[in-house]
Amino acid sequence: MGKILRVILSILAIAGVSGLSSCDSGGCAELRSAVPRADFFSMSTLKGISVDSLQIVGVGVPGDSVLYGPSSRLSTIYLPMPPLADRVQWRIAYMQELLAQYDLADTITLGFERTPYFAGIECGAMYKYLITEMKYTTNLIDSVAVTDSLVINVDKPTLAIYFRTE
Amino acid sequence: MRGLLYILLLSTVTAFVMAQTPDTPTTSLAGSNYDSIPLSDTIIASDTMMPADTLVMPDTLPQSDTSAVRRTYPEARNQRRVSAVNNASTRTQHYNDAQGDTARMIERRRQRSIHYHDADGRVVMVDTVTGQEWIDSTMLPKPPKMKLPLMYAAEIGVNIWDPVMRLFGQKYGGVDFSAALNLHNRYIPTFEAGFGMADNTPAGMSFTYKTPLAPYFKLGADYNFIYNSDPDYRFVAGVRYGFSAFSYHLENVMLNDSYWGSVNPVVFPGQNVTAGWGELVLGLRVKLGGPISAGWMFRFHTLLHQTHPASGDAWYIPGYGSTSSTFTASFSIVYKITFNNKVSHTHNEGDND
Repeated sequence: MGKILRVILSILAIAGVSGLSSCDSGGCAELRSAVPRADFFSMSTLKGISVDSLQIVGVGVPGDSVLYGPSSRLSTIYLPMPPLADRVQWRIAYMQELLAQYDLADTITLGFERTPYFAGIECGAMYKYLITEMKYTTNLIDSVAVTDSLVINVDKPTLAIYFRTE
Repeated sequence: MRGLLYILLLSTVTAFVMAQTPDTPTTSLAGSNYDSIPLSDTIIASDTMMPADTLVMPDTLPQSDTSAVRRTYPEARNQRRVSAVNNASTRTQHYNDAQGDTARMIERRRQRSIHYHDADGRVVMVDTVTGQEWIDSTMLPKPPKMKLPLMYAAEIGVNIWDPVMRLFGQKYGGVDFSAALNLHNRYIPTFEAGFGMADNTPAGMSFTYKTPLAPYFKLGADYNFIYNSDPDYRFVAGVRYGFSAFSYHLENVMLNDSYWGSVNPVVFPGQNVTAGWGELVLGLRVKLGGPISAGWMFRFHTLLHQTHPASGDAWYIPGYGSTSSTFTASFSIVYKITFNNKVSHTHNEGDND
């Protein structure tokens, strides 16, 4: 009987410990893919701003699918990168009532290197990007700064876009 | 003499206070308030210590009253001092005397005694005066600090925790073997070696994580808290250092981009990794039968060092488990090889304490 009790005790101990050992951190705490984040600022005040009536489209996207807009009021945007290319171009169109007739838009072009990246069992596999080149037009954009050239699945600013404001 | 003076002083103050009326002004002692004072008392004012036949009044009298009345009392007779002396040596005197008496008594008794060894080898004292047998407690052997000998036993075991957990759906693990040396049944240095692998396709994910079979090693020691009890049962705590060198890669990686509208296979090259970790263990061991026993251990582990490949850190480390887990366990079947099971009942000079 004593031996049986010992074996039973051992089994119970195993069951109890297995519950503890299987306690892993659940879910992906970060993003499921590497996406650059761009924040909007005013060139005159250098403070964050929200811009009304923007329409943002990836140049070359199938069906000219719109990423944001046209009636969006935006202060921060996420720009997904094409997985098989080494360049991406984003067109920002200004659809405000007073500006729409002029068909004003700016374009931001990024060149990058992409590398397969394993972000953990919860977040999965993706590419990470290293921005190597940047160009932009200056119709209503005053300047664009790259705050972090390495793009991974962490939600952090990659670009800072400064608009001309009064 | 001093005590008598204190008594007289107290009496004087009491008499003085009792002689006061409730409305007596405190600033003056002269006048009708003192008409009731016995005429036999003469009063002398003095600023210095007086002989025994005089007494200076206490300072409770108002200072502004320069004509203060002071009293004297009849000369006190000399008496022997009766107060007890109370100091450090007298406070412990009774204890010291008792100790000395006991030691002297035992020594005197030992000197008049003879001794012989009984059948069990114990020393028996015989008082030649009274003829009584007695035991000299100072000659009794000390109980041993550790009953079992230094090289008590060796143990080899197999950890079946991972194989059992894989039956319950765990996607990684292996098996390991352990070898331990049992010193005094108290200190148990241990070496563990095993193999581990991983093959995991997480639910809802489009990739498979794989680690080929890779070795790992652990070195450490346990401390048995019940070392003087039955050696077939053990309650231990210990530490380990573990190390493994392995590789991992991803297969069947498909990236689905919802905006750019493409599903793209990704070639994920293998990554070589080395990792080291520390463990704190707590465990029990019970005897199953004969030289076979079973033990389980609860392990708290933490990574001490690891390589960080450019393509991301490993999820599984052989011997450690999932890097996201803090605790793990082991369940071992152990075979004990006893070298020397002679139990020591006495403490000898050569015993290693």
